[in-house]
Amino acid sequence: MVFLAVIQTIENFFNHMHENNRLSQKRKAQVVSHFKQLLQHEWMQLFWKNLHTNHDIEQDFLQHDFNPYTALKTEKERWYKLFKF
Amino acid sequence: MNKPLHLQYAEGLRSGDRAMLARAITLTESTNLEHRILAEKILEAVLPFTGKAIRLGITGVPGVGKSTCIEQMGLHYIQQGKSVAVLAIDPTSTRTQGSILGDKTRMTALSANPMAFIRPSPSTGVLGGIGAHTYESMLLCEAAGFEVICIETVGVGQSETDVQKLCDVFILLMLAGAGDELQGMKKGIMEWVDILVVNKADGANITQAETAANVYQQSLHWFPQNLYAWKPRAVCASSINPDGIFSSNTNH
Repeated sequence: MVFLAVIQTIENFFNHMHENNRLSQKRKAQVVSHFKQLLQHEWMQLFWKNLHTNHDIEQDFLQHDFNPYTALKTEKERWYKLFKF
Repeated sequence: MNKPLHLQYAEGLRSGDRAMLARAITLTESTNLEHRILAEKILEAVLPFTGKAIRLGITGVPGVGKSTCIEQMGLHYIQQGKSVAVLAIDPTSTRTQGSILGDKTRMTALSANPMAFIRPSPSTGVLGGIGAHTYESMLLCEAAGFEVICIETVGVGQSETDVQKLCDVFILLMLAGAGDELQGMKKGIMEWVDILVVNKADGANITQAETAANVYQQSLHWFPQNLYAWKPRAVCASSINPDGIFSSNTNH
């Protein structure tokens, strides 16, 4: 049993994408997007790690005096200064 | 003198060592820092050997027939002499952090075929329909010489579109009778579709499936043209049709 119509359409798709290097353009765009995502992920981890060093979040939260927006603001300001944004 | 570990992995991959490939994928998925560093070195070493496969992203709601579809397509490509790697993503429990990883058991013929490699991976809480390191796993499979890579997402809804960021062709599987025309016009996943497959077009369901394919085809015209000037197609498919032939192909 073969998904003939699907296979045929996939072939049509690749024939179309091979014209004018469309496939290569698409893949290049994907690589850039993936790189951004990786960078974002790394930065988020760094950010989170830093936030943890400045606040014992779980403990603050348990004591009901943890305001996430204040913590975020402080942390952002610190990063802006650090990286001279 | 022994070669550095990442080069041993790279050589193993290039020689088609399946166990090495499986271990390399495990390293990319690991959260252990040492594993991550090794995985990055391996990826860096094998990157020049990637990019030669065709990348198919298959998505759809739970139970729509993604695994069956992949098995049929995989067997077709194998018949043509191509090697096939399947990366099947399985949802991770938000309560216990576990995953079933059972999609391989649904592809019995494909999993027994020496030309195929099936790797189930957990989504690890990522919400886009794929895992956090599916892109890297795909590159490793390409470096290992696989010519067709099928990425099966977790069962998705209307907005899990991440697989389109890493595949060449984005295939969405739908079922007939799953909503009105408006469903086809909704933004989100429909905007990224390259090929829409109305699955399970067999038995008493054929007419309904053909109607659904036509409706979807019309709906797809409402979306702005993609960057690559490809007009998305809606087709019908069945895996239990004895002839294995589709009853309709609504190309426009």
